[in-house]
Amino acid sequence: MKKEDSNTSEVPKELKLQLESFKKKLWIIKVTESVLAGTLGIAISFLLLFFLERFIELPVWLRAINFLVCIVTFAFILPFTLNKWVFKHRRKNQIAQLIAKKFPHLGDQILGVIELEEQNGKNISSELRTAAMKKVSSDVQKRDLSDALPSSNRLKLSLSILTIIILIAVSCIFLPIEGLVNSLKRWATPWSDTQRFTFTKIDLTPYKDGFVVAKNEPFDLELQLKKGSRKEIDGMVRLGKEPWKKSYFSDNAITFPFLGKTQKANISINIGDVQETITLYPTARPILKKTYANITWPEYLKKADEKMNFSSGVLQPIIGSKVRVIGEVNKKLSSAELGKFYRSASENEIQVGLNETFVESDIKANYSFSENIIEIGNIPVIKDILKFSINWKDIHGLEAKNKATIRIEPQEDEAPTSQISSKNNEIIKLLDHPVTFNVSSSDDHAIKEFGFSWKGFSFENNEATKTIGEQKLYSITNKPPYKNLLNDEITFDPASNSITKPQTIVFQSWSNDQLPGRERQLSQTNYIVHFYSQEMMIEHNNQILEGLKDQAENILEKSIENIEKLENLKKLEKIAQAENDTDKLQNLVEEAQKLSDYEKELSKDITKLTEETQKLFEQAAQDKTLNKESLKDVLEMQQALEKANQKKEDAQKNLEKSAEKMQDQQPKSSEENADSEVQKNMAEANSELEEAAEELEKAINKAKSAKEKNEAETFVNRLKQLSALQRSVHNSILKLNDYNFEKDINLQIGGSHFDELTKTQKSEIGIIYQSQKVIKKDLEWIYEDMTEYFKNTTKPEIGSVIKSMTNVNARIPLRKATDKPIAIKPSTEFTYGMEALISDLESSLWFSAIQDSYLWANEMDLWAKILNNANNQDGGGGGGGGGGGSMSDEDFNFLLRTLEMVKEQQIIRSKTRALEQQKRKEFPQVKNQLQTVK
Amino acid sequence: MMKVINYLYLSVFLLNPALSAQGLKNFKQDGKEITSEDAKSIMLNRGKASMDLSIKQDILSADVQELSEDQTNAKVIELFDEVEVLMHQVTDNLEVTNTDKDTLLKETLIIEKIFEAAKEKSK
Repeated sequence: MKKEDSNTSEVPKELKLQLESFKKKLWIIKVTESVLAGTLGIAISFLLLFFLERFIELPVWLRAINFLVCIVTFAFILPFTLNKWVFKHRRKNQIAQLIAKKFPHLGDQILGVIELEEQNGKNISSELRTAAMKKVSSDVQKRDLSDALPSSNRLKLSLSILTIIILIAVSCIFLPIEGLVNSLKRWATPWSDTQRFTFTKIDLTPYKDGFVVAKNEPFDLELQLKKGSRKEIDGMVRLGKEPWKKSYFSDNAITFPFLGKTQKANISINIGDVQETITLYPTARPILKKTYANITWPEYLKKADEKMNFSSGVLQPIIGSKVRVIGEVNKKLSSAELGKFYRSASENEIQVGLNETFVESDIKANYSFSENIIEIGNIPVIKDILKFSINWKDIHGLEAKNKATIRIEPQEDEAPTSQISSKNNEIIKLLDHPVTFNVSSSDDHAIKEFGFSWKGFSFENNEATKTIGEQKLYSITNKPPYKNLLNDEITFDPASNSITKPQTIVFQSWSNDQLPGRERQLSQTNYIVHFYSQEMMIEHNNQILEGLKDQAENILEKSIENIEKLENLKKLEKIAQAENDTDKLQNLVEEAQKLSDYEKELSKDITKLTEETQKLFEQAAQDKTLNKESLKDVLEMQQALEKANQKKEDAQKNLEKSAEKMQDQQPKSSEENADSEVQKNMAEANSELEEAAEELEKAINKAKSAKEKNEAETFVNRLKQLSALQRSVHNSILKLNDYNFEKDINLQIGGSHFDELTKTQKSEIGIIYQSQKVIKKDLEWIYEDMTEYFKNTTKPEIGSVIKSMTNVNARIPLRKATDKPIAIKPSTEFTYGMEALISDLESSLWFSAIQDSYLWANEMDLWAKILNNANNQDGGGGGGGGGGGSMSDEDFNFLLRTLEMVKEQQIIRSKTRALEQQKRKEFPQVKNQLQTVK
Repeated sequence: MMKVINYLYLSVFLLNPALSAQGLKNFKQDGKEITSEDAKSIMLNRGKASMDLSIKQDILSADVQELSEDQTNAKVIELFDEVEVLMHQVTDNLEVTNTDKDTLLKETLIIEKIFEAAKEKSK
């Protein structure tokens, strides 16, 4: 062990200390150096940003790169230095090697000593080793190992850092400390939202999210200096790549005007040390996409709220409604303003004040906007026009170009209108025939009730009869949908509405709406139906026949004139040809043309007349309001008119031909001319016109004949009617007296004075008395008409009836029970007896009145019978005289029968329709029940 | 026979107290309640009116048949045969108070065909 110890030797302590000292110095120098280098990097990085940002604003990414490079470098230098100079120079041999780089001999010696130390225990003498170590140690001690240290940049680095610090410190004389802090912040935290410090401070907050302007409209960019900013005189901006615009500050603001833009672009701002860019967004202004209103109708209408579009801005609700106006803007809104309300009864508008019906503040309280919807609620519709405006801004602050003006024009609840219509507004119908007409009604909201009414008027004095009625066709229910338009076809059957006497019925439709207090609205026009009895219709047909005859006569007269004109034309044409007078010929052409046109007009008249005749025939055949013989005449009249028309048309063609040829042909000699085409055509036309005239004459004769035959029939009917009335008077007297004919006893009022009778008896006597007077008057009329008729026809039967009438007094003994003188007119002498009957009634001489009224009724029946027999005989004998072109009796009878059947079927159809209408309108539920039972 | 059945049927319906009490009580006419009595009267009148029309149609049908027998023109006879068939159908419909569109259409056809027969005859 000793041996071992004696063989061991260590590096001398002094050398060891020297080497340790060297190592420490090395480490300090190199670590300091690296820290200084890193610090310098940081300082340069900051300085770069600090100075550059005084002129331009560095973007985030550049600042971030700057900062990252700086940090990364710093982070790299220090470990590198530690590795290189600390870690790799921690052992003695490493130090010795470093020393050897500067002092190779010394370094090798130290290395040798270190190696000797490592060879302890080996076959080297310890004394020797120690001596060698001491030798080296003493040599090293003589040397300053600091000289072997690598060169150092610490001073340079420190100076550089110092310079930078001085530079920054000097800058701070001009730049406020906050500028330095700002730069530090922006350098150290490039990601943070720290605004660059500038001397000039512009408020760009409004443009933070871009500058939104109205598309294609000029705009101003207005910039404001912030508080504490350096004052500036001018500034420049530039849109995209356009030239720079310069403007000047006024107070603390500067404005740059721009023309309208449509595209997104950047605006560069260069004011003082501010260099900023904002983005321009040209955007369309917000517009009202849709305007509608929710209308709450007045309560009486019982109508659900209604949505109504009114893009025109004019709303027309009815007075008493409440309106909620809703505007839909095409963009999200940031604000919306409601303007002042105006009411206008005239052109001058005045602001609405507070009053009972209109409270502006109420409306404003119900005003709101959200997203893109503006709502103004609870606007009462008053009697005046109401006007207000709304304005809005979108989320970008863009306003509407024009304010929306809403105009509420109050409307009155219009009264419903009713109409009644048919092919003709006034017609004549037989009493048992249904009539068909249309009724309709319309209202601006809902019809409450709808129907039609009728009222009868007497033919005699136009006074109202007892006939009156109405039918309700529609009545509003409590549940919607309500109807505002109604129409219906009505088939009105007089019989089922208790109309049994001839009279004029005036129909009117009516309707009403729900406005409280509104009265029924009647139709402006009436539908008038004259319900005639069979006899009246016969009389009416006579009048029609008379009219048709007159028309035919008129046409015939004109036709004869035309024939004469044509004759004359023919002669003149011959002369003109002979004289070779072209002017005259030309005039004649015109004349021929005129004649042809005139004939065309006549032809039209005949067509019309034929149609009317046909209508009469069909109507009368169906209604049986012309007797068979008259009908046959009417039919033949119609056929004659058709033939006449055909001839007229042929004549007209010939006239046209002759006019054409007259114009074309050359003048000829008189012999040649006699056979000319023109003359031939004219001759043909003439002959056709003459034939047409003959047919017209025939038609006139047929019309006369029909009328005469029908008049005879009229007398029969009139007499029968009067006889029935006379019998009714007779029966009334009997009833009034409770007269027992067999016992011949007057039990009731016989002999009583008029004043002693009861009120009812007096009234009944009054009616009997008046009726008898009417009978007398009518009989006198019949007598007068028959006398007149006899003058024209000289029918023996008529004459015999007239004679019988004249002599009636001889058959009915006069009972002179009155002292009153009776005025007797020569023409009405035969009614002397009837005057006596009236006197009897006046004097309450019931017995003679009963007897005479009975006899008078019998007389009238007898006259009717004579006339009727005569008519029937005429009818039987007249069948053979129909003429060449007329219809056979069999065919005529067939025609009449079919027409009658058609009429009967039409009546059945009308009545079926009336039943169906009734079923649909009045009893749908009854019908359902009926089907359930089935 | 049909007429008798229909009258019976109508009477049964109208006299049925259950129907009168429940079925007809609440029927409304012109917005106001109508009683079962009203309903009975309405139904009876309607049935009678329809039956009257049916009888008239039947009589008219007999007239057509009579007129047709005297005819020699084949076309006219054919038309009258058609008219007769239609008239029978209408009669049947009216018997059961069927006044619907079909009945009205047939009535119109009858009128047209009679007119056509008259024209055919006058040729």
